[in-house]
Amino acid sequence: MKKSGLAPLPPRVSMLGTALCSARALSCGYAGRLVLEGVDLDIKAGEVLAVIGPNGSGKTTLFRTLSGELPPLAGEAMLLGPRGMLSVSAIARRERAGLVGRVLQSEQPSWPTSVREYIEAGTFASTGWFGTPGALERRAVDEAIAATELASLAGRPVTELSGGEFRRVLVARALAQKPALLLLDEPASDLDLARQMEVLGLLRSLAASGVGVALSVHDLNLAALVADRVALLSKGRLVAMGPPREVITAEAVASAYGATVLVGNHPALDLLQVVHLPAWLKPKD
Amino acid sequence: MKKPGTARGFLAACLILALALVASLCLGAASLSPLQVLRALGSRLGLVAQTEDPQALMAVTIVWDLRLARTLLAGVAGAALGAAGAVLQGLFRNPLADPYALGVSSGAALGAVAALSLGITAPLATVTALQGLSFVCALGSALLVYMIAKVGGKRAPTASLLLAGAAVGSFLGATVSLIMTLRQRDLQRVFFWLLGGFGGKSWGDLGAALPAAAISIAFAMLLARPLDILGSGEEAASSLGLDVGRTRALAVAASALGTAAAVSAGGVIGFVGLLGPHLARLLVGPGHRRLIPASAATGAALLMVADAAARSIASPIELPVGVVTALVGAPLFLWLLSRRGPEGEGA
Repeated sequence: MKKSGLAPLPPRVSMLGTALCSARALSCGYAGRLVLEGVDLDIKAGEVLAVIGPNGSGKTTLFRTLSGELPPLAGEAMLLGPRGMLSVSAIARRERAGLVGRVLQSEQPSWPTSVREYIEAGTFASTGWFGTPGALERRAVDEAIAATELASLAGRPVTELSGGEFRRVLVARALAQKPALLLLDEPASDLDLARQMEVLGLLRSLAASGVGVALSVHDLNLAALVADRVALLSKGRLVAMGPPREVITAEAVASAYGATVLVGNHPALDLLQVVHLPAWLKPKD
Repeated sequence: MKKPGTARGFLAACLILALALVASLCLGAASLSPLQVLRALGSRLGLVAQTEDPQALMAVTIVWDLRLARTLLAGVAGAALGAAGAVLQGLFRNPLADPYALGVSSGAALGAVAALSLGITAPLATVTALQGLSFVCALGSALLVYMIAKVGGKRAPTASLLLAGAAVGSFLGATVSLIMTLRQRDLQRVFFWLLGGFGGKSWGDLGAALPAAAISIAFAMLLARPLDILGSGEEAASSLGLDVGRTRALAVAASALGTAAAVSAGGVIGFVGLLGPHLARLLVGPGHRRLIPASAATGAALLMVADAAARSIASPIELPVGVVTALVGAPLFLWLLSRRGPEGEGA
């Protein structure tokens, strides 16, 4: 199996800005249930793209389709590989796993496997059914462990980790795939404040090293904090895409989520802030 | 990455296997000392000088002509069950999966009973029909349980897994009874076979069981890495590049083959496929590359000891070996079940 040869670490600054993944008039969903229609987007090397939208707006479905797990209902989902931009369905499963890594929102490990062995599963695409991880794969695992600062936990059973630690293990396993693109479902959910910043900080540093990062996120403040660009999904469509300030507006949030918010600027940090404005809260003046 | 404790765990599994073999050869209507057993083993292998001592000659006859073949057959069946149990647990991502509890053994038994009531007399054809039909029926029941218990691609919840297994098992058991009622001619033959056990089994039976069992274990070992990957869940495994559908199909086939090999050799024997992998996990950890061979070793050891117990506890009466494994295994199974949460998601 030929690998893409694109290592996320060390940096591939020359790649920055190249589209790693493209959707063109993409419709996705399941048999008999259309979830998203007419999506056009690129995810570029070196950027963090936050995908926002209410529950059921199709964030996970979009990621499943972009990674080739779910065949597109119409339109094209393409990935950049060693042979250029190809339709995901034209790329073999194991080759895809070397191009795009996914981190699922909820994953339940079945066995008390050690952290290192769990991360080693990321090398399956390059070793295959009967292979054992060789020098190249072991280095990928070492680098993934180093990047996620899991060295001290490498021998612990994954079933004994805290939520934040396990989330880092999942990111590490995706990194061991050596993908150019990472798609993460709600990587910040269920984590406390410090753990959230740990994971988001890791994503920022991965993007700085040239990986394309797309994550779905519920918390709009986190989206504004971490993302270079934001994509808003609502009512089966991609309704807005661009820098956080252009996409996250009070009008857009009202129309997509049906929630009243106040969008402002943090006075000290020049950072976009979204504040809930429910009916019972009367703003002064 | 090999962990330092792993080699020791493997050594322990081999040691347990060797001890179980010698212990099983010692026990029986006439009990022998381990030294007598080792001497008797050595004498026909030409490792120990032949003796004229009548007691030693008797020991040689007991070991080689009465006990060794059945003990090895029990070992082979136990190994096949242990590996099949490890594969099923990996497939369902649930440590309570086992060929017996899931009704796969009942499927194999139905096939075997059907083969017996076909009334084939040629020995080779009998063996082939027995193994073949029991494999086909085991495969069918494993598939059925999988389709019922596996809701929405999530980790199989213990409750639905065991309920599906119980339902499929009782349906198949009823079918066996039906065949027995309708074909009274074969009743006795089928009944004794169904009781299970290795009494009176010969070297020929061992030769018939060995290929299927060996193939099933080798087949299971080829699935080691895919089963490791599957431990992350189906969607994650698929995104890691695993063809989940193919893995599932092959795992069902491998476990059905191992179960059929064991059931055709010794009838329906419960709990070996459950306890073998549990013991193996304690010794070598959860990685399937080590777990599957270790489960074969512990399964073999368990069933050899159970067979020895079956023929010596109530001697001269020989108990069905399935009774022994159930008397020991069922309480352990309940204990394991009670340690898991109501949703069956605990460790």
